[in-house]
Amino acid sequence: MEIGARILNIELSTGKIWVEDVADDLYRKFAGSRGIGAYILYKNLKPGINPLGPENIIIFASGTLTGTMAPCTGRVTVISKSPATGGIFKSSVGGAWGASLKQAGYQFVIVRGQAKHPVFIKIEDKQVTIEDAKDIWGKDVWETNDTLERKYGKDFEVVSIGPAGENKAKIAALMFSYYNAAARGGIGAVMGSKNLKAIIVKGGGFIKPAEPEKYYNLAVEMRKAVLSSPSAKRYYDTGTSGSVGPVNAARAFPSYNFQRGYSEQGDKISGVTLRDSGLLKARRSCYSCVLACHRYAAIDKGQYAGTVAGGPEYETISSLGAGCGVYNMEAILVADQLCSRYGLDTISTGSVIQWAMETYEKGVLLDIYTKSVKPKFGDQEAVFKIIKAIALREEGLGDLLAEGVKIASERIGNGSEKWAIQAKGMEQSRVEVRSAFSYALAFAVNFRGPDHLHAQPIAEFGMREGQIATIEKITGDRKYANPYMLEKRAEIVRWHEDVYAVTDCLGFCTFTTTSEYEVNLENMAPILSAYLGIDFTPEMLKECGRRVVVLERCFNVREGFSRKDDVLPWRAMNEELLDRPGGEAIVTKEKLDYLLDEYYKLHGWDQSTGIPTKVTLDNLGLSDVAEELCSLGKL
Amino acid sequence: MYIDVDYLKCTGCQMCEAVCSFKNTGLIGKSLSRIIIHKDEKKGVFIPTLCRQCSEPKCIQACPTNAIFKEKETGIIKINKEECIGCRQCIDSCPFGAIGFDSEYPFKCEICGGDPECVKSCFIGALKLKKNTDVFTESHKKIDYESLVKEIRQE
Repeated sequence: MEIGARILNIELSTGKIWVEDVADDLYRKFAGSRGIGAYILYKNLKPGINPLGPENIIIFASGTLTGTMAPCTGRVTVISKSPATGGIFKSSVGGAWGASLKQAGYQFVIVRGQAKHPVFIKIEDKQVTIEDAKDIWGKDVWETNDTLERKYGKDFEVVSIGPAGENKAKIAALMFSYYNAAARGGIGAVMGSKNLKAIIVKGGGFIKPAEPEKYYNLAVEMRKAVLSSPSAKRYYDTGTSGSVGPVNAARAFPSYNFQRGYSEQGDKISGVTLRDSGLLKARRSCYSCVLACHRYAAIDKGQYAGTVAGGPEYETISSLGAGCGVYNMEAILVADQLCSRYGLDTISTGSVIQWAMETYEKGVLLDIYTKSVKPKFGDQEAVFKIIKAIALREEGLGDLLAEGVKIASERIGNGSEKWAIQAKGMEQSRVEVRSAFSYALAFAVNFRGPDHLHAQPIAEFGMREGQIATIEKITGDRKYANPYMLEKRAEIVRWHEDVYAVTDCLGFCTFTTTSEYEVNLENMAPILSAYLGIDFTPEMLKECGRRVVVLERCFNVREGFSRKDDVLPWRAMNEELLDRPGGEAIVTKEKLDYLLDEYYKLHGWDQSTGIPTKVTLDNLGLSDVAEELCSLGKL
Repeated sequence: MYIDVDYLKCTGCQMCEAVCSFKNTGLIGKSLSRIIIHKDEKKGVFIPTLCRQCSEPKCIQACPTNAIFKEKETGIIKINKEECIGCRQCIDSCPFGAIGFDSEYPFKCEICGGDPECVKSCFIGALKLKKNTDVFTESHKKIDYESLVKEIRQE
């Protein structure tokens, strides 16, 4: 590929800028963004480096098909070493930034080093410059976008950090345009540590697939397949927040810091309410997306009039709403807007706030942390104040919570670690894993911490025929479409891992490969082949996905991770979910051990350590990685 | 014949840009597309911008070499490259900002010969093909996109 496939390197310490091609061999092995990015990160970082030091790098990776008419392929994966977990991190984001980058002639941007003073990067096709950021440093994300747009016009796509990233809050997000976030893992803090405020991109070039007509026709077929899915209408109609109702009804809607799984007032904060209340003004798509799950909502009257939000998503509603005991849609919009402007991850922000609320109510939060605001469940004004305090790292509670819930709870102690809903240092996303064992396993082995974007095995619920068929395809029997069974969970999780990795690499949104699987290995292989001019079979592509997952695990192994880290938050393993009627809802250590044993065995990893064996790595073509891990005494 | 636009439906996916540039040039890129989505991300407004095949075309009036003409049968406005001198006066005259330039010649939507790819690819139906006999009769005044966004958001 000549066009749209280069790597743009920017070394901020020296100002050096250079461009490399992506070798075909890297596509053969790792398929695209997330995979090639993981390989670059593995090769470029030494183990043990400080994620917030100049040795860390940030890789912005557009999907291999991003910027084209393949449906729902607007995704960018951002890869770095996370200050929250100390492991490899990838965060996927939509919008149109990635498409612009591809049309400017690059698939990857690697930012290295650390600028001496605040800067931003301007990419306009071949012209790449490092600019002084004195006019935007200190500004919030929206003001930053406004300022850049006034100066350079509307044709540039913007990724920036807000005050939270500048202040290196470990729950700071990267914000793409006004509302889209590569939220998790504190990558916003990594960008802040580099004194890098923004990267703006204008793509005036073009992309040419290797086999244009074939590629085009396959893209049209895929578009039709995605639109034919029963979930397509739901995503458009009520967005991700449309699932608040059904998830609540299933007693799996986390509220009050995961103390409960059902909210009596859940209907007040659902996507249906958002739509019918008049708050929803428009539906938004990422580049080439035919689902349009994103919302644009605005409050016209009342005490919060003038508030607008690019959501809220299901996760935001659960985290900043139900999780904090706030059942007021307008208040959630206000909190969402604050997070967008300050550049904070809404999942983690809600998580740390509700942890503080529980800690306060249990009487173990010291007075020095509650001087300016008392964190009480249900107090929306407290939520707003704490969001600001975190972003600005205000002395006391704000500075404490900006460290993320793991460090905050370790500092407070007194048992508060038990209700810190995190593992590996990352706050869990808003999924109840105590009554769904594929989810429990997927969350425990997720290299970035407990959340749904490593593998989302919703098919195990068997709610629709498509889901049951998927489980049958994976396990050979429809009966395994049952989330309360322990058997076959390893198979289900590994299959989803493989597919998700490929989905990310090519730039597809996971909504096209979740549950009904309209986009799948069988149609991704030919379209990738037509794009690159390299033959992929579905089997080869699946192996790419596997290789990516194993490589990511190896990165963490090199950092000292092992089986001991594959855990769930304490609460999920030690406190039963009370709201679920009938049956025990808890992932005990015994159950998790069984799931992990099966999973490691299936992968061909060492069962006692959870570390891939040399043979497994050799078989996957990762001998260079195996050699290094051997020399470090890890294998 | 012209392509009608429903601002309120458009979700800003830009699929039309990708398919348009490909059908017309064999390459994929916004800068080659005959249709451009004017995006106001902050306000969640997306305005598809393309030639409306005006009944009283400003571009034809502006062209000094008569290189632009309106097909009688279909009403489609086309550019004859052999007559075009690349002066860009048509670009400045267009009330919609719907004419692009490819380093030599201006280019604009010619409705893919009557079977427009953008309309087929618009999943939400924000673009609609009007028949041969239909003529775009709305204002031919220069569009001020900022005002239009405010109007849509009722500000």
